[in-house]
Amino acid sequence: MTTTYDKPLPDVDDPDMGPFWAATRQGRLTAQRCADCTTLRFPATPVCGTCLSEDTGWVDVSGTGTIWSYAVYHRAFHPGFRGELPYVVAIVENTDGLHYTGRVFGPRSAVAVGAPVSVRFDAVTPQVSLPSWVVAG
Amino acid sequence: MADLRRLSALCGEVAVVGVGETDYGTDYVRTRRGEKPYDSYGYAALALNRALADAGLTKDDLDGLIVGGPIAYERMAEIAGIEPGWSGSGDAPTSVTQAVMAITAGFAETVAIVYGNDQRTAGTAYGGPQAMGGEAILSYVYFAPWGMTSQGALYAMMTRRYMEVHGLEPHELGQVAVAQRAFAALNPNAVMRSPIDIDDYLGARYIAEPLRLYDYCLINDGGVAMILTTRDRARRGPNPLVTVAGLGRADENIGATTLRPRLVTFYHEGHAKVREQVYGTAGIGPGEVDVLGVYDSFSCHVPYALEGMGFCEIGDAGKFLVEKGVGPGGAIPTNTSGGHLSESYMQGWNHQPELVRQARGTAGERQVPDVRHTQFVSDVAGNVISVVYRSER
Repeated sequence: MTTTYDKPLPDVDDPDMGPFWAATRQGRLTAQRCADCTTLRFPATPVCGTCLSEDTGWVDVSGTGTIWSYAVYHRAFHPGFRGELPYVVAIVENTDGLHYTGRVFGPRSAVAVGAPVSVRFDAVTPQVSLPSWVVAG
Repeated sequence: MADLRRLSALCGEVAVVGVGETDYGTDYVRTRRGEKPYDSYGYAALALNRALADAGLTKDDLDGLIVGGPIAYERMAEIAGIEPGWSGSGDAPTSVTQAVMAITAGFAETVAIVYGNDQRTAGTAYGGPQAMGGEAILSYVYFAPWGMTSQGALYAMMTRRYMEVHGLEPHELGQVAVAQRAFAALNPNAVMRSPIDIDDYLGARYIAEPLRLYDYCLINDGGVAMILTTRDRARRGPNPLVTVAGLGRADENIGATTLRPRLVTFYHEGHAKVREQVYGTAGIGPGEVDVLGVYDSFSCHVPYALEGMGFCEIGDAGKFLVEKGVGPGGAIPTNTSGGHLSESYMQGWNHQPELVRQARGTAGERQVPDVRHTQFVSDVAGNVISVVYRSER
């Protein structure tokens, strides 16, 4: 199948991250949760970095948080983003204390370290829904 | 945890006896004209020849070879016609460290550390779809779908967070680029030699905001080499004695994919461990460092290193840059060749010969007076690492 989407796409079949992308297709933000020590972790890893347990599940996590930091791209290093300059990419800390990377949408003047954001899922292809973050205006 | 007693046994026993670099400025002009004077191995070989000549040695004196950049030690040994007893690869400070380890452990007596990179003419991308290592490094794969496609944006995020937490102002950060260009103007081998002032800095375009054009390193071709040997053998050589007097290293990879070591603690946990090691082994503190070299792929590394190594308090780097200064005549002259921002982007390698020259007292117009100790610090690619060189003239 062909698509006109010309930006990089994640590998939705990645053995670690596959379940995350399956959940985003259903509009859910998730993280791994260690079945032994209960530590939440993201992005996905094959074993728990806290206790090395191999026993892992996925749980839904909070879709709200604040901007930990951000960068404003004024030059597109990937041609797919050329039409969207300048665009904002942030690391968001959700209310579970997990850090997620994502585009930030909403008024540019409201983008700031500490600004509250909520998650949004954009179906960019039939297989891929990218979580992005919306800042309140 | 590092054992300072055993680590100290390595320090002061190995000397840098030869330094060699390629012609960054003239090669940059040639490559801009479309010429390709050398590939990565060619630049490395040229730098090696110059380092051997500087040391008064020949290739037959070498029994160790460590390489950096996109070159393999096997091929480098073939090209240079040497069969070393110890070989390996690493970034610049790791190569210095590894050479010291190989020599003090008895694997080798005289080690060449060699770097070559034709990144400009080869079109090496440090951002974008074919970014170097983009397929292998998790962070690039993970960030790319959101347009987080370049190294600069990582440091833009780090700087934005730092500005928010510590109040760093653009005109304060801009002192780094202005100071290093002032040094480059005194360095005939530098690529960018036209002085800039703070208005030029602030007036330049953003690349990944808050970082501007002059916060970014150059991309150019070149090579660097150094020859290290035992202190005893170095005493018989032609150059003023400069030893490796201090070493330190601490990794910071937990949480690296979401940039936690950069965005939460600004690498300062690694800095604190390295500070203890490098100053503990050298027997000095930051107040006794006369010239500093900081890995400056981006200008912001300088304030993080100044704080991390204790040249100023954490949070005070902006004020330090304006009031104390890192340029010619400043409190701690930093990247005195012009560094990656203005001399040459040799990924931490060109800082090493400059710090040795400053310790020898042979840095020409940009020589800092009465140099006894020089220090290199890098905080990139998952570790903090530092080397102190000592003049024993």
